[in-house]
Amino acid sequence: MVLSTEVLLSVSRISKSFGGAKALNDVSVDFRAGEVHALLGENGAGKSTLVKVIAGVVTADTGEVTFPGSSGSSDVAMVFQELSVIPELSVRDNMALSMRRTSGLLVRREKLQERMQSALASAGLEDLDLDMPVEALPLAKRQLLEIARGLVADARTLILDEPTATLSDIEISRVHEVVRSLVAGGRSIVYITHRMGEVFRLADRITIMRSGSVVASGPTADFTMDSVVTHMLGEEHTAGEAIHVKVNFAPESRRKLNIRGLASGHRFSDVSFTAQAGEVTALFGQIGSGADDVVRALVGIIPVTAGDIHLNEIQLSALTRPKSQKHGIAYVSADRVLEGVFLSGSVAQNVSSGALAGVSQLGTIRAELETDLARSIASKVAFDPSRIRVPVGSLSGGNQQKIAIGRALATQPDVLVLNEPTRGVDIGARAEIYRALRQLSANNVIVIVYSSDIVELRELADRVITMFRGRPVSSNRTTDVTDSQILTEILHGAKA
Amino acid sequence: MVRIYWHFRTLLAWSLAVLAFIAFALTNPAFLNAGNLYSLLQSFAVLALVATGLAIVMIAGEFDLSIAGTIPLAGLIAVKVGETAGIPLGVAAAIAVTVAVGVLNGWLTAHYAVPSLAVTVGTLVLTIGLGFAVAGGKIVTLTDFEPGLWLDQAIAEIVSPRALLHVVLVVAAGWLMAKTWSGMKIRAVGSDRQRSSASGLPVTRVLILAFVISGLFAGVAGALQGLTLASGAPGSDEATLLQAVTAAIIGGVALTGGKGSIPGVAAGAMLLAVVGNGLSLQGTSTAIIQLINGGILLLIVVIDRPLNRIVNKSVENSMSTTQHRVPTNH
Amino acid sequence: MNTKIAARSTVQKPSSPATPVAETIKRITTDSSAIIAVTTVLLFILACIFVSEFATVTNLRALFLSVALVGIAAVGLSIITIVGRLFALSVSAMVAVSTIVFASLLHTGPWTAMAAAVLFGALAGAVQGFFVGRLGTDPIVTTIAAAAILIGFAQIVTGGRNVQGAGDASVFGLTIFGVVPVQVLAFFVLTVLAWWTHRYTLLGRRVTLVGLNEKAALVSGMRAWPVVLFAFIASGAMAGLAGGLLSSESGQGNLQLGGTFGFDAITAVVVGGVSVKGGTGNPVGAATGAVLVGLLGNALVLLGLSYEVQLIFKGVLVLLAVVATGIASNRQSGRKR
Repeated sequence: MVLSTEVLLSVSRISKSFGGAKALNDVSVDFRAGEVHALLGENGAGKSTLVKVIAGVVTADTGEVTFPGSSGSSDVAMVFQELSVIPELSVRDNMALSMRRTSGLLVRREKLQERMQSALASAGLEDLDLDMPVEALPLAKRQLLEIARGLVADARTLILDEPTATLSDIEISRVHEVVRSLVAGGRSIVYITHRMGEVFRLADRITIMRSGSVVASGPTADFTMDSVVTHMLGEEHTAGEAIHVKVNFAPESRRKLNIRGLASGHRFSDVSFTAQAGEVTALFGQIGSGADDVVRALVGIIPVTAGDIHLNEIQLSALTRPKSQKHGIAYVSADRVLEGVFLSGSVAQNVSSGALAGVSQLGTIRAELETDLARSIASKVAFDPSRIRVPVGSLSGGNQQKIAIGRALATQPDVLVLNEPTRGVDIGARAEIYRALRQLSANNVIVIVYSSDIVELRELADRVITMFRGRPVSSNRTTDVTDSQILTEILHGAKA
Repeated sequence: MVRIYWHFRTLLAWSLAVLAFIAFALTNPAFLNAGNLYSLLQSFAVLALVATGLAIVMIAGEFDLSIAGTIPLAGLIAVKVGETAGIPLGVAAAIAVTVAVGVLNGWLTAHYAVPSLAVTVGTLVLTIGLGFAVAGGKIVTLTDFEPGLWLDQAIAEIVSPRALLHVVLVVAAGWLMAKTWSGMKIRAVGSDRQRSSASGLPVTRVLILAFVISGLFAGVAGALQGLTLASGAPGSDEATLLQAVTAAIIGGVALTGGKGSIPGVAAGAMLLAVVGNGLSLQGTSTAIIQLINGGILLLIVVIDRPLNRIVNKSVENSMSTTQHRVPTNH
Repeated sequence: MNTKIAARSTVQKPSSPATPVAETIKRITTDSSAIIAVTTVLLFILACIFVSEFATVTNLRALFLSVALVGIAAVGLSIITIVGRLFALSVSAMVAVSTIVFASLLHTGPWTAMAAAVLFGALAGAVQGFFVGRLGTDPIVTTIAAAAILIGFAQIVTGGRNVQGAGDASVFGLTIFGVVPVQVLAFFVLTVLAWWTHRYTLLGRRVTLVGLNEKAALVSGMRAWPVVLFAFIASGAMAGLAGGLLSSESGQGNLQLGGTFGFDAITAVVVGGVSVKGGTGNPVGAATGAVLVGLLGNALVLLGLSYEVQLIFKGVLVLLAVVATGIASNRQSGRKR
């Protein structure tokens, strides 16, 4: 790979803060023609914010983004991780919308056909029926279509944000072929990924970000997998200390959840483990690994197609969400705004929402009982009890998440299942939440977590089950594995 | 196989309409009389036009209750203004008002992000009130019968200029939805408003366009109807609203938006027109016909989603792939 | 320049710091029910002072009679709105058919006739609630269809003719303490009952939660359909009661008596600050809305303005109220418009 020198996109001293938090700190990177430039970093490192600044979606506080491309065509096209295709439109029409010039009345479908076909072919979709409605396409094909849409916009710089997250091996190599041919044609590709293998196979240059700053940047040849991981996690990164809480129950009464051979269609299969009170169990894996689906299957949100679940010797079958709640399994979902809390309701109303029977007598809700419940839950999740009348919508993300967890706690569950427990939560609230969960575990509640954040894993989990592409890789005590091992397992699938 | 996804409901609706037609023709020889066919086509044309306007709003993901008010209002304005200032001005005024109502509906819904249902309840009451205001407590009549007679003359014994005009508008709307950017944008906004907005589509303008078309079509139907009746009466035309919704849903239009085609809506209108005409010819009372209309709507609404699911499944299965199914919460 | 491919920003905006005073003021101004109640009282006082003939016994009596019936229907309808199912467009039809039910059964005695009307309403509501709640059909279309079916049946049964009840319904024409008509008492009692149920009972809380965020309710294991079913049954029963009371005034029942109940009830609900998006608002708001709208209409008539102006006025009122509650609801959930 010849490293070219023509810079197509130049990011210069970009800084951006949201509220008080610095998302980007004096970031400078150049993206060159004919190069695949990988952008790496853990969740929250600033990759997404940087890319949004480049695309013009977010305005930086300082610094500038320039396009010194010689041809004058300075477009940049983004292929986002969140799909933007319209489900009930055909492939053809979705492509046409990306190619749209604003004038003109009629959609000249025939004229656009050629460019469409070539873009689709480049993305590995040459066999796709253009009239297929997108909602009938499997997720993998939708992602490829997303890439094709980016291609057809005809820009010199293309930013691909996790384009292969849910793709199979064949599709991934297709995407790589596409990327290489684009780059050979003189384009610049910014490639954001978590998959180490991809980086070393595909990228000419690597830039690693951590906590909003660029910590390393250079030709791929200058890095090794270990050095990349070290940069991502930080030299000073010490494994977060797991907080230790004394166990609070008699060993005979320890609650246990036994999973054997669990499968859910194509999402995951062959998952077996035992989670018990006194230790926090984590399922760990990237998007598409099935780890988050295991957690959803445990609470009955997605169907189980094989295997058993036994809670304290009782078999749970044909689970639905109401049924799993009745069995004592509470759930905190990953999207608190959409389904975690009632934004217009007060903290007290939110907390009691799943446990209404417990705050009422003879069918009427007793305000004192509700207040008492809210206070006691507030103390468990380190939330200021004087604020229980405040509407949840006005709280910070961290506090909202505490309330979402509080809702689940109020149901006095035997099992608490959390999906990304501290997504979008500041460090202070995170620590409080981890403590609360550990205390819960010490009080004979089984705590099961899905996470994609390795620091969280360290600080919260005692046991980690790694997953890759729908199958479990290994199950270990977190103290017995290094971060590198864990990352390698979830990124590669092979036991480290 | 993909054709099924796009055309199944349309084909199904037309099949049912044809079947109903044949059934009535067989059981009642008078059904095929020129006079009866004429009146069948008249009611079909009006329903098809109004239903098409409503369908476009529904494809955009919204709903327009106000047509129950704008149809009679248009008739009243066409007659009242036509009586004093001439027919063309009367019709123009009627349409201008209904289009303005459409703009109001679309703008309020889009700009304040409120359900169009609530907005159009307001504009419905407003237009009913305007209707009463225009009528002024008197019966509004048109002394010049000529335009009405001309509009409703029978060409080739079975079709009238009015019906033809309505059908032309329906065809134009079908062309708009199938062949223009505007039509695609309407469908995109109805299918996934958030993603459309994130992709830079002008959601407010698109919604206003959809409601304007609905208002326009209701205005044309109401105004011309007023001319042919040579009178106008205030109130709300819930019967037409009911039939328009039914026709749209039969034709594959979903209340959630993004789905359905104009040919399908026309088929739904034809089916309802045939059933209504055939039954009344047999002496069935309007009460029972209305009952049947309501029953058809209820039935359609219940089987709509399962039907879509079956269609989607068969299209998905036709794709030779063993990839991941789409997760249910994406 | 960059191509315009936008993305949804997933960064959460930090909330503004909330001082106790600011919080209180915010809560009052966003509590639409409070605003409406205050406005109603103010307007009542203004009308008493400035509108001649308003503050007379005969006028007030007629006003409260008509407000009471609409109010009963509105209170019931508001539960459907609060649970997030927008409106039932079948209220007029249910009221009309209830008048027929009442009149037809009046010969069995006024109380049994009334019970039958209420029961009919509840059953009709239950069927609609089953479709909307359990089968998940669209509430608007379902209730439009239900209205057509109800009217159709009633038309067949009565032949479109007026039904003259054979019995004495005068017990419902009584006034308590010689001043307050029974209808008004019923309205008052039901409003208090609905308010209390909504505010303090398990069921009422569930209605609010499902309306606020059905997904969040489901996540904690709640089932939404029983709550939706309840809303429709309650609304139906209230419509039945309103129809029965209406019919008791004349002992007659016919399809025309449904009149504008449906739209008046919707207007009352919307003006009363019940958000059409669901979850926020209280049935008391709908009751207040009914009083406010009735009050305004009455004042307009006394001021010499015609029926059509009233209608136009009501329409504009609905639009303003919808926009206002829309703005408030967007602000409350922290969403930038």
